Amino acid sequence: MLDEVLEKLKADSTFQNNVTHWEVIPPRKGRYREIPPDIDERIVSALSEKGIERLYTHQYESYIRVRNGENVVIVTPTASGKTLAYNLPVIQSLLEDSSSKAMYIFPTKALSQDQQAELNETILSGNLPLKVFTYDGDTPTSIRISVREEGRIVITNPDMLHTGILPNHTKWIKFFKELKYIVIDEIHTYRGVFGSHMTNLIRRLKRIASFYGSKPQFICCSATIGNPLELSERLLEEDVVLIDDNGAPSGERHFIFYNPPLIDRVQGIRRGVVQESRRIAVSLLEGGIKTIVFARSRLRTELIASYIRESLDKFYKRGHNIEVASYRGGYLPSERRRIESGLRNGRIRGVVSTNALELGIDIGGLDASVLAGFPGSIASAWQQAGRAGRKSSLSLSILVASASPIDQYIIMHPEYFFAKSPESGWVDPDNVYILVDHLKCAAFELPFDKDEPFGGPAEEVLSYLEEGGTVRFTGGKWYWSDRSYPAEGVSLRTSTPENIIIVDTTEGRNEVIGEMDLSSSKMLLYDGAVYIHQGDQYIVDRLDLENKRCYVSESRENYYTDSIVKTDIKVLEVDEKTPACGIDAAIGDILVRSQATKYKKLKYHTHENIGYGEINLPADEMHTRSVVLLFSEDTLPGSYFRELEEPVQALLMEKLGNLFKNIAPVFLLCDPRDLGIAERVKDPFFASPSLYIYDMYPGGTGLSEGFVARLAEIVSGSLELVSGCPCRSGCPSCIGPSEAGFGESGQATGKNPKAITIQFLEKWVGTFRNEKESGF
Amino acid sequence: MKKKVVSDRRHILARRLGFVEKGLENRTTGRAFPEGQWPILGFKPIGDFSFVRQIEYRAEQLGIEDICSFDFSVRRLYEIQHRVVAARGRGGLAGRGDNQGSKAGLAGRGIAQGPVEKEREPKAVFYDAETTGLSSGTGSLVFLLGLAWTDGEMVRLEQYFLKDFPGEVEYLLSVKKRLEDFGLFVSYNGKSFDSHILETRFLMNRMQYRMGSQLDMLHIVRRLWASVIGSCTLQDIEEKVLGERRHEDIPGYEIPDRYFLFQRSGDWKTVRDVILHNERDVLSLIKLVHLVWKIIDGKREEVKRIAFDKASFGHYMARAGEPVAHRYLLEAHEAGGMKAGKLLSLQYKRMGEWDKAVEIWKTMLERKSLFAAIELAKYYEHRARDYERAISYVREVSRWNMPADKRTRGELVKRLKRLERLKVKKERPG
Ligand SMILES: [Zn+2]
Repeated sequence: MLDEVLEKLKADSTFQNNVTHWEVIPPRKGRYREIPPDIDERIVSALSEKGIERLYTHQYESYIRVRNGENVVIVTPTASGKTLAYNLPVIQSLLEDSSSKAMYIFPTKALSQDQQAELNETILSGNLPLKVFTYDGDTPTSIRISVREEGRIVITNPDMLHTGILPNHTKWIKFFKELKYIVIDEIHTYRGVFGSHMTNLIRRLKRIASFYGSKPQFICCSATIGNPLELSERLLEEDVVLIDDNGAPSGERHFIFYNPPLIDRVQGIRRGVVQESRRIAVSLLEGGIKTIVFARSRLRTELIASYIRESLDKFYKRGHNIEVASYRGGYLPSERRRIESGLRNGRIRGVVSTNALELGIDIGGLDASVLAGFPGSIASAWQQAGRAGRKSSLSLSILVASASPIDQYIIMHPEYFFAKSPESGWVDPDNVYILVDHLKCAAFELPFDKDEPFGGPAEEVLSYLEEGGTVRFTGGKWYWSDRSYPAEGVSLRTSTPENIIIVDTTEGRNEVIGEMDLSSSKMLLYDGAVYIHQGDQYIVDRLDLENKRCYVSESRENYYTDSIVKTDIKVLEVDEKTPACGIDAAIGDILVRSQATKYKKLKYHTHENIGYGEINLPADEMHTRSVVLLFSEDTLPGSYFRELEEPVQALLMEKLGNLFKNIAPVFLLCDPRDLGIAERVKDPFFASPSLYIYDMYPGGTGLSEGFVARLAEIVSGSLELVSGCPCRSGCPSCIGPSEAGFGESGQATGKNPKAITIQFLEKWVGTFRNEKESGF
Repeated sequence: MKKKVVSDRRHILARRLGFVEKGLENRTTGRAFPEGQWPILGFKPIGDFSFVRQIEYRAEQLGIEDICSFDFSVRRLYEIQHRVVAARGRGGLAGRGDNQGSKAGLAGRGIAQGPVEKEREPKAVFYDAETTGLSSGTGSLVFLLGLAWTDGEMVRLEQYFLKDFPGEVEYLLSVKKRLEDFGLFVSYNGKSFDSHILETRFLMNRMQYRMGSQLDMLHIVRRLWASVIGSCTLQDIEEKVLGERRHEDIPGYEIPDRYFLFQRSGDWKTVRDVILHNERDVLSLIKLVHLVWKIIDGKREEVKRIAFDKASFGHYMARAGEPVAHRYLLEAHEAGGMKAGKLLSLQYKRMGEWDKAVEIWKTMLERKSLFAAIELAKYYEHRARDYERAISYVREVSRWNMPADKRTRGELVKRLKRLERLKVKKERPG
């Protein structure tokens, strides 16, 4: 069917006019090995029931390596049988030794539950005597004991391990004594600050295991990432073997880059990504193609899904029945399960999702994926595209560009996309902020012996902690000596786990229909907001932040709502101001406030603005640490800055911000998402042009301090990067893409932003390089 | 270059922890425990780091007239709690206590399910632990354990004190040796807190010890007084129920810090209040058990002066199958309590005493009880087969104009339809 559709698309000249690139990725033959002879009969027959008579080479290799006692990291695309690759050796070993146990760690609760379902249904087929349990915040108290006592495979997430399991490890004695394998899936999510937390959590986990005399082996899995081996070795602090030679077959894949047509040539306005994606998805679905659409926000997900359903309803009258679901965070687990199984068994033919389905949730094979906008990273784009495609058949992915500069850059420069390797992940587990937090937790869990290491030597931090009275050194050991439960005060993630429960009160009902995290709810569930849930439309009657409830009732408005969010930064306290690289760098505490104060009412389909409403909700505040680069007039770089015209100053500031966000993670071993950037040409607080680089984790994780310490390297590195970049006027890898048609129509400043940036950086680097050469 | 990185790190560390930066070399780690002070309050060393203090009270000093019946009451209270928990277990809930303190645990230790066997009775101990943490988890230690038990006409109290962390093994060994004398462990919130922490300590030191059957007074106390006095800490109970007031008491949340201060200073005075607090808690627990038994017994004049939630307590006793339940439920019903009426009528219904049940429902109906109306409708439909009357009760509900949820409304409509069908059928001869 898909080949017919592709033929049609090829012949369709209106469609072709908007295609900027059509990549055909040739099919790959599968490479197989026989099932190893030592594998238990029961597993062999369970596999055979699923139609598996041979293993892919990478499954075979991981089996041999794991059984050989090696730590492995498996990196193969979606739908390549990764789950089996790690389950096979684990299940075999667990069957051989009836006391041994395994722990599976997934980054989110949703993924854990999905895995449990998959393990029970497909892998074990109910015939193997292995109990698999999920242990997370949702596990009822009544079954927690049996999980601890009887679970052979316990599935959990980092947060539960951190606050629930490790600080209460004596309840898990039986489990830890016999802990043989730890499977960590989706390790690419553990990068930057989150990854640094994860490394420390793994240190704690190993410490407890060793207290009970076990030394578990690790099996990691990752989606596409630039440096999987390096990342997993940093996370585990052990040797790891990389398994990335994918033996699974794949069909021919077509990857089309689609730029919506211009509707206003003069102003350069294109047709919207929502309607274009809908149109493409509908024609695929009508052609009988199982399709997934990825949207960039929850709101867009619901909008696109509703539009698709409406269009198909017209079609449905012609005698077809195509069910299309939307999928995003905030649905009830039962609803999520229903959609997932509907997709697997084919009842649901189409789904519109946020990046929630980008990760490994099993939704079976799909034929086509439509990316409604570039998802922000090369790795994500491949991951989303990879959701379409089965072993042997043809598949299609279409990237539909939005109007944003980055989308426009990618769509116009497909060679950039196809040549660029996916982003790398970094971690810095010895970041003092993070290390201190985890050392406290570790000391609570088990006293430290005098010379016991934690990653590196722990004595320095412990002695600082003793001075504060949280630990006590006596009898050759460091003991926790504080009344608190330290894990409670340490969050592994940027956002708080608090959720708002959404309650439908239509006609006296009192039914929970979904949930949403606290800070998003202020942007999406304000009084008067239209809330769309699986195509049903509700209006928010009242958001009760205190009781964490949002009351909604069914509505039939002809509009949806979108809030206008303003973010500002307030300097709370400047701790120090140090000269660095010829300028001044201030470090201090700031408050980042995001507040939705108004919302727009937008008419469905036309997206025409038909009114406004007020939002009266407290701002979302984050107290964090920031470094502020001050380009004051009395410094040399500041004076170069002042020489530029004002609009150019603003442009340069923005470009420097993008550049630092791209390059600083390499030096700070964090992730771009860990850094917030704000630029102010006129800064009311410092009274000079200021560039803020702040920590996205509340309270900060030492990135600001690190930034100053490595400023010279970062600035020189930036110059190197931007001048070596093959782009003409900026691209996502360097200073960020510029508006389309820059230079020709003489937009904005009329100057090439890349040239401006290079010139400025050369002068700036000159100021501190000279200092060095002159014998400083 | 290397040195610079280290100093940056130290600088960040100091800032993070809120200190003025100092060199590591000058820091005094592992301060020796200050020596030279004799323990106070009669503590005697039982090891390098552990101390014990022993006190005796005459039973009547604690208001106990008859030790034998007091011992008996402790075991009866345990049985009652056990039967309630078991009843809840049948309702689908199972918790740690259910499989620990239930049949096996008991029978093994000599308390039979029925009447108390005179021989092989497990000895009861009242206990309360002071810990270094406010929550459980492996980082909280027990540094003071108060135990009390009856012995002849006396009540003996022992407090075990741990001076510093390295002494925990010897401390736990002495504690274990004493605890092994007992088979029933009476506490206030000890079942889910103190006992867990204590058992965790044994595991952390690679030892095995599990307390036996638990009688946790918190549960029954909540039934008795939560609706009357609100918060039910042992201090609240002392003050508002036992009518006693602590003058120089230390709030519970300050206890860990006092202990840490003691560890740093070696000054026994810092923990004096903690030790007295613990002693007081154990003694109050004994008095509390005594009082609760008197209420269950119900014979004494003095009990009548004490206010408690008769409906909720009656319900609790009903679940334990105690005859006294009936009396308190009746009293509560007569005082106008709907919940008590409901429970009482259901009891009558179960026993087949329909007249009494109907009488209660009719009283409740006057107070617009939906439950009573439905029960009456059911009664007249199934037992009296007087459909007209049954219909009249369902209709009665609709006149109240009460906001009922969808399901209830649906059920009422269904019931009405059925009754009308039955009525027609009955009226039609043949
Ligand atoms: Zn570039």
